[in-house]
Amino acid sequence: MAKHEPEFDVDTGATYGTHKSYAIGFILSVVLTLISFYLVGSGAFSKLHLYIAVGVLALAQLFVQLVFFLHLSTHSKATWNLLSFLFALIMVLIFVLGTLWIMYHLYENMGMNAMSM
Amino acid sequence: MSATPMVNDHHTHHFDGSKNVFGFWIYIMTDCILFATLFAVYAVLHSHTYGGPHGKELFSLPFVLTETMILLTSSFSYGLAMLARNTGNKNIVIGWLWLTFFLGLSFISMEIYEFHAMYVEGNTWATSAFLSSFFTLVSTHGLHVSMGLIWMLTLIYQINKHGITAVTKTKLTCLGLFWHFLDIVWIFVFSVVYLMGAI
Amino acid sequence: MLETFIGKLSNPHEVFPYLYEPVSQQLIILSMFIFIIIGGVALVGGLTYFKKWGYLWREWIITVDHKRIAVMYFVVAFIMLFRGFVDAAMMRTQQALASGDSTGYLIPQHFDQIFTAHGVIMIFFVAMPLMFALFNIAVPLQIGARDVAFPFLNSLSFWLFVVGVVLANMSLLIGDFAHAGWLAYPPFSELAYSPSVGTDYYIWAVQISGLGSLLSGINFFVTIVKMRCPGMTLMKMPIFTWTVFFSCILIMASFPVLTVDLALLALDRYMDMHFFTTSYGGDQMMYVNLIWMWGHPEVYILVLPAFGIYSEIVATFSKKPLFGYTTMVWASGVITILSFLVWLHHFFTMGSGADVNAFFGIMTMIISIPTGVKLFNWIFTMYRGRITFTSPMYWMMGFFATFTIGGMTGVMLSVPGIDFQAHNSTFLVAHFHNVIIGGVVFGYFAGFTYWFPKMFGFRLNERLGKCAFWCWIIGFFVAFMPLYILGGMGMTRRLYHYDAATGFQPFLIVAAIGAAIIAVGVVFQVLQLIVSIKNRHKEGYRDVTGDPWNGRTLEWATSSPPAFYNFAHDPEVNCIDAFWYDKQKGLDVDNKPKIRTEPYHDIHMPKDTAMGFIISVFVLILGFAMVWHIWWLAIVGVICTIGSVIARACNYDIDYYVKASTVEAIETKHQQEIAGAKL
Repeated sequence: MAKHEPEFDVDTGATYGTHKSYAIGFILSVVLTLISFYLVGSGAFSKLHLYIAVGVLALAQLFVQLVFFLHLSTHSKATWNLLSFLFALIMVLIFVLGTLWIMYHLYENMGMNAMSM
Repeated sequence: MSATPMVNDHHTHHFDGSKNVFGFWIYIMTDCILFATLFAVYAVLHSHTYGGPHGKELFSLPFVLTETMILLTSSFSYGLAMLARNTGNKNIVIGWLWLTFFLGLSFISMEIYEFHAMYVEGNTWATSAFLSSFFTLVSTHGLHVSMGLIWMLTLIYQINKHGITAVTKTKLTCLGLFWHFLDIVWIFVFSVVYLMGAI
Repeated sequence: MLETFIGKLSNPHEVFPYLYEPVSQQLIILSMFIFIIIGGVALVGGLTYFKKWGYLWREWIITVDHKRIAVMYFVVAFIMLFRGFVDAAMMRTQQALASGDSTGYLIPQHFDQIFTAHGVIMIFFVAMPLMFALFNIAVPLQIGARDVAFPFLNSLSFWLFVVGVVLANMSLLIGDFAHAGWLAYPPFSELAYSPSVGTDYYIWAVQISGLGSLLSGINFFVTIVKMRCPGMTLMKMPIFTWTVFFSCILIMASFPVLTVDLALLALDRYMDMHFFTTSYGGDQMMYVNLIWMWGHPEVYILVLPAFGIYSEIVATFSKKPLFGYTTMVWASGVITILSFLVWLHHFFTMGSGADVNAFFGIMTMIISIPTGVKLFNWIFTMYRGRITFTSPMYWMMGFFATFTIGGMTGVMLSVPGIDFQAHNSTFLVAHFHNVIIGGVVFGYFAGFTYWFPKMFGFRLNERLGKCAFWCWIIGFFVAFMPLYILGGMGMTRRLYHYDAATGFQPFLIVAAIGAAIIAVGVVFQVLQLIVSIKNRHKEGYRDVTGDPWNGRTLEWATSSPPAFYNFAHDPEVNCIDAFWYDKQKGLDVDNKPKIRTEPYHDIHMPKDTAMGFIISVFVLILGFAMVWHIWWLAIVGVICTIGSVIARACNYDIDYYVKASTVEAIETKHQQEIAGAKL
């Protein structure tokens, strides 16, 4: 995929992959899923490290699927798709991290124990 | 803009699906924010168990792994349907779509089975804020998959009737975006809800 | 048994709560009923008598033409503005009376519903549709497009909005409306404390119209990205189109959050879930957090297009290019991003602590910088311009004064320490009315006056428009300045009754007088419409050129009202305000010698369809059934909705070609009209 120009469909303007790109994407996704499953099952690391590992693997898989299944690319024809995706990503980060920050700060500040709620 | 043929130019006019595909992509971005909000709610409320069970006691990871693999495979088989449309043979496309459909259907059936099992054990959405947010997040995804399945059926009907035209190709592309997107959302459900819940 | 079939409709206490209320309240409700019945009979009778049902169906209900959808948005929004205004007047009267021994003329549960309905209606059913009306009338024309990107979706959005309106107003006749304020904070809006159907009406009305808004946001975003005419690069777009672009981004990023939040509240109420309940681990602050994640951007969704309108108006009537076009675009962009980083300032007092409050307080203060940039740009545009003082300019200058004051009280409230004192007081009420009336309402009135000739081919009466403006602005200050003072005195908002010793009453009487002055303004606006429609063929009203204001942007390059295909030939531009410069050069975009000789082509257009209307009818059935817990009907509603969507998807006969000869006939007629007028 990365080596040659992506192909665009005449009717839809959308990129499409090849058998090879779909296969690579599929295999990578399966492998990444199995790794995180295995890591959690084995309990090899501390809790914090496990959280980080699972999170990173999920993000890696997001990237794999975006590239190989959704064909998001930096090609100029797909600029608006990429920009809108990046904007959505920023919004997701603001909403999720902002909410967590606000709510956990509230619980700490008000001496509320989440478990007892 | 100037690169694409003008819509009203009758000499070169044909159905221009790029607008539809882009519009659908934008819809998916809004859906992305919808799920992000549900994830935020889950992330805050997952510890609010009110003395009820935690995720660790409820989730069966091998079962969920199977669900994940089924959904991943369905994403792959949808990709094959997308490739087959370039060959112009509608029967191959429809064949892959049926495979995708049944994989999706088994995913939904497994999810319903899991929910049912939790329900009969008395762990319902009314048990705690944690379970409310769990059921809502996971079933919102399930609802999207179900809508995708209905859409897939109508698309199979349309492709069968009209063949592979610019219009059906566009619809196929949109449903493809939707299906792969749901796959991505599920990866996060799997990682954040099930795996992190089991740590 | 009966309950299985008709749900809560089987309980007369739920369906007709006013039957069990004091006679004084029943008289108020009776007069409202009489008003609605007379209005309804007049409407239906008129349509039948003049045999206009077919016309209504063919020309309006099934239309996908953005210009007609704009007109329909305006009509519904103005009717709702009337209702929202009556609510406001009732509140002002109640508060002016309810001092000491008197408890006013309303009972508390009516006062609750009135202030809730006022907020919901003014934001969701007045401001939003007025905004979409302006989007619809101006954006496709400004960018030289045939229609919006998805004309059918546009019609569906409109009808979904109407479903929201119908549900919210149905509560006048059967059942009640929400009591919990315009954002329905839990736990009060939970089933335990609001068991009536009122909150359900609220949830479904807002949810369904919100879905319509989201679809419109996507629609106009794609329209602006994909359908600009040749030569119109992003930085050559009219500034109103730019603000619509940013407003759409805000809609797309924030409305899904509203959808989720309301859905979770609905799940709490319908499925016994515990997101925001007081027990079982629920957390009502989560609701507040989410609702403002939507609610703050919503303010900018409304005000950015108003800023765009002011920018168009100031350039047109100063006969100068807009000062600082680029900074205007960037200021809008910065406001768009910043508006997602300030939501906590609506609940500083929740108790998140100094770090959080400081961050959101500072972000709030920063947002006043790009807004200030805009204000200076407008003033510099007017500087040394040849200004014509039309009524849109009046609204705009009223906006300068009002919005600046509102903005400054906003900066005051952004300081958490001050907010702790002013939170939930009438100071806050005065602040947001100051920015919303001064910014949004004045802007939309200005836009309505400005684009009215484009919609109908004749101008509004200027003199009456200016009278309306003076009543509005004077009334506004008389009505809301006392509220600032009252807030300082410690009066909380939504107060039903107060002790005489508080000394609130004189100020509240002044505020009520202010509301009365605004009412006079509304009367002038109605008169303005009547007089203008009556004189529409006369000199001074009629406009055959399509360019009554000597405008700068493409919408003025076509006839008024434009033919359904907008432009016979696709316009081409090579700079900002290309139409203006073409006129300066003695050319006209449509009258270029080169193009005039060019033959007309067939034009590809979408077919009208009733599906948007039909789908919305099924959604209305679904919403009604859910409000009244009629489960079988809800299932029918869901199935019919999905079925009709599928039917639409399977219909491939959705477009057609307008013959070149038809285009030629329409265009020749228009040319003759212009020629006739010049003689």
